[in-house]
Amino acid sequence: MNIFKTKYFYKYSRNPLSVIGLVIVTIVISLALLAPYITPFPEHVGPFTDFANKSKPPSWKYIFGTDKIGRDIFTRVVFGYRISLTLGFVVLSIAVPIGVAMGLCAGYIGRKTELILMRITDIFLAIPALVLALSIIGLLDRPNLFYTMIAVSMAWWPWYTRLIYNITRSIKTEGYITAAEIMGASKLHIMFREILPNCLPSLLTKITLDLGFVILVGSSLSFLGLGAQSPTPDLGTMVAKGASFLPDTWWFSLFPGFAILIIVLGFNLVGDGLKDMFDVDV
Amino acid sequence: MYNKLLKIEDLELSFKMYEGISYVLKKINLDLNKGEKVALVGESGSGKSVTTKLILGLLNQKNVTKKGKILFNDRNILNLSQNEFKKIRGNNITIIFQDPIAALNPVFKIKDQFYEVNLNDKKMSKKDSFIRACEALNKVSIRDPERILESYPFQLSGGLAQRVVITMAMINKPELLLADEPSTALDVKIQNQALDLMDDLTRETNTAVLLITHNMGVVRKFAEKVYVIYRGVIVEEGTKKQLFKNPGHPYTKALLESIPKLSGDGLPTHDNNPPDYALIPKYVH
Amino acid sequence: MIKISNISKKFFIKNTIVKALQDINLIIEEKDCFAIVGESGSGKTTLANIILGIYQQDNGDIWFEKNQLHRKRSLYQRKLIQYVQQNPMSTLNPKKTILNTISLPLKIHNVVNKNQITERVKTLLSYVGLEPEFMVRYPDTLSGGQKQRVAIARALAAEPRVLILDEPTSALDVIVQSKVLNLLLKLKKEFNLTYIFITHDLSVVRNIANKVIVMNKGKIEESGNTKNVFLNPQSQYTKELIKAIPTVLDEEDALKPK
Repeated sequence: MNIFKTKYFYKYSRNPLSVIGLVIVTIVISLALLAPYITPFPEHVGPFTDFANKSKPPSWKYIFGTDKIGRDIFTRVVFGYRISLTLGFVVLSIAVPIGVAMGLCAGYIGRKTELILMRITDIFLAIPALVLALSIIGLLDRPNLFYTMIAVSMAWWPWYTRLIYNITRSIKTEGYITAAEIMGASKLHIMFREILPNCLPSLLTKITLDLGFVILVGSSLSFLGLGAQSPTPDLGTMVAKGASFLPDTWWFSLFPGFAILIIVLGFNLVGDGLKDMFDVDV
Repeated sequence: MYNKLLKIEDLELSFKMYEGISYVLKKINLDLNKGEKVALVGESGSGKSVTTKLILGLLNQKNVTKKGKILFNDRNILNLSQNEFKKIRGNNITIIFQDPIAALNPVFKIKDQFYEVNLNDKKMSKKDSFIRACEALNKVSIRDPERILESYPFQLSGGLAQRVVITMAMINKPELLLADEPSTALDVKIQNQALDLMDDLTRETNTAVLLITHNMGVVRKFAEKVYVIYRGVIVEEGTKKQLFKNPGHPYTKALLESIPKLSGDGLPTHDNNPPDYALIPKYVH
Repeated sequence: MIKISNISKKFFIKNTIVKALQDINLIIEEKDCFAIVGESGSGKTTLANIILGIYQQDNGDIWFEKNQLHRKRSLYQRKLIQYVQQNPMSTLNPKKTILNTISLPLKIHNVVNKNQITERVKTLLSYVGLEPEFMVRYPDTLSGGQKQRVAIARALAAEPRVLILDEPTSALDVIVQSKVLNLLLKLKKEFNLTYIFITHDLSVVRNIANKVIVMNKGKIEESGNTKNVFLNPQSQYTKELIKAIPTVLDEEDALKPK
């Protein structure tokens, strides 16, 4: 089935911005996947120094210039995308299943379950994501990428619980749910095989939008020094380290910062496009 | 030959969609005299509801193509601007819908909704609007209209809400009342009351009524003239008596036969391969 | 076959007590087409929901042959009484194919082996006059009449003995309604089913039900053989209800009570 010929893609492509977003996201993901093969200096990603070529401005050889210890910024930015995307996917792979399962149970099983689960969710929702993530990281000994991912996941699952809970509550009085109940279907079946498929459009849209936000939060955390540690290339860390050298060696911060902007923008545009295509509200 | 209040000439409507073009109305012709009660009868997908939308100027999206004429008092209103329509809607042409409670704004009291309607006629204070609304509700035998006006729509029963909506629609003495399945959501007894009310009020103001419905029983009770529509084509036209005594078109006959009868002779059998009713020429009595 | 004794049910809505059902007693015999008529608020849907186990009654019992039915019931009890709902638009899960939808009762009640499911679904679709190609379609591509046929096929899948039909044709066009009613009668005969038919449409009742009860504000106004109730209504309420029917023939008007 040619995906470009479906009714969905037709509707999606009505908005040129959505298509631009899709192009951006496709390019970034491709770059990240093919990073070792398409970057000029993949060895600059590990422990590497070349003081002879340090702080060089953008040129044909070093497209984004070099940093304080002579590493090619372009290569590091592309590898930095790997870190960002990994962060995004891992965080959501943890947050989404937890949030969805809790939302379904809270919405469908009964009053007591609903009260307990939603109170827990409300507590987590009351704390801003960044603050929560910082607190959790603070409890752990040394900051690193792995801890960052756990912390951000903890801040993220409640939003999925809230989304799925709302959809579940509005669907559970629908005819087909009553029909399944009367037929004798188990609660588990109804939650996961009847209700969940109807949550997919909203879920996919939210996941796409969230990929952008998670990357932004992750970059903010690494900007504060809490993300991946040197020499691993992390976009937020690169912006932070280069900030003190503005405006002379502007290329230290600008390109990584711009890279963050592009990927977040891309996911936002795709997410908005999906929102219009599915006609949902997340 | 006196001029008709509403004359629809060769009206065509099509929608452009992903799958192709959908032809909803295919050259329909229909007319109403002043004060006449006309029914447009058809099943779902016949195009009867979009006809009212066109009369009110409510279909203006990019993918809509309209052809033909809708003459209201000899003036073609098919492609009027929204500003022009605002003058007509609520004043000369009003509409009542199937679900009266859904048609009312749930966050405003009834008296505020009357105020909106009254403003169409002339500028008046909220106090005067309240008095005018009270009088109108009194006239239709609604006891304690003050309480009704201070209520929200969800506090009214279906039947009462329908009476309120009908009163609202008639308060500015429109020339044409469009009624889109006005009784389908209601029980039979209340349905009859609503139809009786519409009959009384429109007789008094000589308002013409275009009744859109799929219910032949309602048509028989209320209408003087009937148009039967099938898939965007008018297949039969006649007076009530002619249509019910001597239905001409096979589709009309099928409709009447399908209705279960009080005599209890059982359900009619069906032709498994009915003809394409749209291809059989229109029957005019 | 089904005995309902002294059923009562109250609802609490916004600080008022609504007596949905008061002391309802009735007996439904095997192979009956038993109609429950009433206006909205009469309690007919509440009664159906109690029989189906969606609500729990406050007082009274329901007996199915020799066993009592409670709200929590066994899978076998659920199998015996199936349901066709009023609104065809929401009765099918929009994200499931027709095959998937009809397979559900087959799987829950283990009616056939896993590898026979597709074949059985084809057969069920043929009973309701739909071709096998409908199996791969989604509900949004079906008309109201087709959806209702699928709902009927789904109800038959579990091989029930009783079907509760709640206004199964009210949302359908006149000609489609007639076809679906014909289908329901045919299936009743073929599979020896008992129908409990809930509706506000008296003309339909007159032509398909052999017994009828008229409900009004939670109480039974009148009950008996359909013919008797229509030709000789005892209660004023029933008379008013029959008089209000929107008839289409002069001959019918003559049959209404004076």
